[in-house]
Amino acid sequence: MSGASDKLRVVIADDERPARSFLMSMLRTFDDVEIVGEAANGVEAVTLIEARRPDLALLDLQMPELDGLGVVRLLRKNRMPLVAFVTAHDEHAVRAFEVNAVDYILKPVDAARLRQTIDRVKERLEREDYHAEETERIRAAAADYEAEGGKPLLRIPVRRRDEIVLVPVNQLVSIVADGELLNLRTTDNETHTICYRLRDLAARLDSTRFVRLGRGTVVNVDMIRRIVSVPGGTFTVILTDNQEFRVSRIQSRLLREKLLRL
Amino acid sequence: MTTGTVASLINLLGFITGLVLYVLLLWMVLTSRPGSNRLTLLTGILGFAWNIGAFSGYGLFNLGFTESAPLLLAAAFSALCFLPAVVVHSALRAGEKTSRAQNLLIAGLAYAMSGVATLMHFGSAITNGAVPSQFALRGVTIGFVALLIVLLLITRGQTGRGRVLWVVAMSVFAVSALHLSNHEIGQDPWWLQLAGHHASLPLALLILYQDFRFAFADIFLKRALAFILLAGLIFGIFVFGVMPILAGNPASERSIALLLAMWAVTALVFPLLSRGAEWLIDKVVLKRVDYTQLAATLSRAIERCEIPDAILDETVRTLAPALSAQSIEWSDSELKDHLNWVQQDRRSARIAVPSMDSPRYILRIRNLSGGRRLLSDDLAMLERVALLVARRIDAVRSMQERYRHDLQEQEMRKLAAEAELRALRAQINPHFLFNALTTIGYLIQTAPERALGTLMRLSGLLRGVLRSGAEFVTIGEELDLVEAYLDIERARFEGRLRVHIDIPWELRRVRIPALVIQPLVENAIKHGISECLSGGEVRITARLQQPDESSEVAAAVLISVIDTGVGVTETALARRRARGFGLSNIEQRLQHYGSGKTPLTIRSTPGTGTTVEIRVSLQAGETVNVLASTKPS
Repeated sequence: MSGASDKLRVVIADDERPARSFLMSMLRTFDDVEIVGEAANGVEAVTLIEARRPDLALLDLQMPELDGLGVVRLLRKNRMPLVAFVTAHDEHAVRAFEVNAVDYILKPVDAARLRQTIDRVKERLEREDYHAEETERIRAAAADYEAEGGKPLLRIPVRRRDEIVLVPVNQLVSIVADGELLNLRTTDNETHTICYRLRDLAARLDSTRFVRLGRGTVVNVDMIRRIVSVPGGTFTVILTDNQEFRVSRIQSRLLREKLLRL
Repeated sequence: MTTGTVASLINLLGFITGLVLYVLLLWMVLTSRPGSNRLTLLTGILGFAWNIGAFSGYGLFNLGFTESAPLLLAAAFSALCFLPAVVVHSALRAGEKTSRAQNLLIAGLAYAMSGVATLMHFGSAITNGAVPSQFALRGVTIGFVALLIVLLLITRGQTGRGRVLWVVAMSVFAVSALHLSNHEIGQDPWWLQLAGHHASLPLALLILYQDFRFAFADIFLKRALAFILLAGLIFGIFVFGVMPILAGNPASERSIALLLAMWAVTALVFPLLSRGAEWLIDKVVLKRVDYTQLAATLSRAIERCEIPDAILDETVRTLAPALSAQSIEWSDSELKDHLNWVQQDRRSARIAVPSMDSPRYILRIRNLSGGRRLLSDDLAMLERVALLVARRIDAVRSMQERYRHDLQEQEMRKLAAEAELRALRAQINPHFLFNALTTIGYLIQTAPERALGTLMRLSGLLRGVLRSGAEFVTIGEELDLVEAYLDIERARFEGRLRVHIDIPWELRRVRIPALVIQPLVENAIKHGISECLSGGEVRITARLQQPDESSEVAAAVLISVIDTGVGVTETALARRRARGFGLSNIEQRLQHYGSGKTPLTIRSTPGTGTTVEIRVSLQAGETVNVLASTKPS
């Protein structure tokens, strides 16, 4: 909470203007709420939240390019507000939120239900450790959701200083883990670095187009130029941009099953 | 009765029987495959010549009808002397072990002996009128006995009845010839006369029985047996019944009544005897199958078959031995009319199986063995079998048809149920519905008039989608639904959604399966436009595909839904289709309504957009209307 006013500072993100306006007009009826910004898509929402540092973000789950969960993932940890997702109808998401005690509101939004969310947020703000806990809950819900009914990832949002670059998945050449970070190589020979777990990212990629070569490497199948077999039953993969990767023993076997058979 | 009279009668009877048998043999040989058996033909001719010559020379002469004719008799005896030569020739032909040179030598010798005997008969007839020439007969007998021994040695180890037959025939001839050489006609007891003069009869009987069993039995044996039985009966009655009674008073009224009664009994008994004789011949001699039983067996056998091919195979398998046919085949029939159920020539027959639907089949019976022809009862049996088979084939087909129909109906019902469910759950998907309601909520606050309008559109849309029963709608009706849907989506997405509908008015009357365009439009918005920050355009177009005259492509309407959205990769598309995004349902329904194998095509480029095209065949009546109305005026 910041400033003299003890109003709850709220940001709204929804790509449909009528829905956004409907929610805003409802929030305006609450005296203890201050709307500090509205975003028409996910990328806008990230910038807005980091600039205005609200107490609560009401994020539409379905937004073009960067959806509600994507926004949460991209936010810096120390800028993470409390979050309530807004969705018209998504059985998988609702189940994941319920299991992980993440707040969500259904469209069309009911004023009483919105009030509950505001009250709950206020309650949580009293506690010290809400940030870490909230982040963990949302991360778990997102993982559940993606495991169950999530769409394969189309773009990978990458932060670059103050801007966000959306890297289309089909332009990826390779993903190489480097400690906590992942290095993404694109067809334009650019390298992006994101903070994400390789295992989680691999699970969200189209498994027919991306193949794992070892513990720390995932490459785009379409970008493989040659596969050279190495004595001992393993392979070396050479990509179109001339990167070379040794394939682990286990992945060599999988590679043989998946790629090298007619 | 004197011995001479009895002997003459026996002779006369024997010659007539011989004549009948050899005529039968000749006829059989001539009507069977031509040129196949010249020696049998020759046997027939010689036997015939002997019998007719002896009949007119001896029989009629003995009875006092004609003058003695030495030349005629000489010819008859010459024929008789040639018979063994032909028999020997046949035996050699049938032989497997003899060489060609051996054959030629022995046959030549036999014919030479017969030739010499012939010359001697004619010589004797011309010089002193004494026929036959005793010397010639004796020579022939001795010569052929010698040949018989040689033949026996040569054909030793040969299998089959042929050899036995020819040997027996030869022996009998020998006996006959011996008898003729030693005795004067009319002096011997009747049994010796029978054995001596009619040795050619067993030969004819044997040949007929072996080669033309069925014809022989059908034409000759049955009647002969019936008459013999009748004669025996009458004889028995006369000897044991009538004679004792009439012995006392030969010309009383009682005797007349008795004779009349006998007459009536004879007439009544004959059909029975005839049937009995037929049964005996069929069962014992021919071992012919009981046709009623055959039909029953066949009917049981084909009852177990489930496909026409199996039915026909089973029929052929059962029928072939019963008809003693070497082969019965079945094939598809190209014949259009089936008035001629049975087509028959001498040794083969074709029977059409009169099933209701094509393909119809034909049974071809080839090469009936034993000179068998198809008699009226055979034909009746075949017709009955053909009907039986046809009925079973019909039953099997209708069963299959019903099964297929059931399956199709079941599938259609399933599809319809799925479509309905989809309409409730996916087509008007909850996500859309709640977003629409949110939009209406917003509009209520800002523009109540528009809120009401959108509410009405939503109601109309729901009603349209939930309307059950109507499997087909016109394109116009479907477009109304699409417009309602688009209105709501436009209120939601505002400037981000642009729509362009380009469907000619005349095409709006074309009937298409319900709910095939709306789901495509919804997909375009959901997966294309709504994923785009700046939105995009949805185009709905329809055009007529003219029927191609060279191929059999019918006239169809091609409806395209094009969006400028994010597009989709092929793998993602496959995944989407597998998860059932309505596309496969639409595709299946279009396939069922006869729009070809691939009524739905998708072209998509990531980043540029997606085009979905469906192809709906026109109904027969519609084609003309639409084509007429689209002609440039």
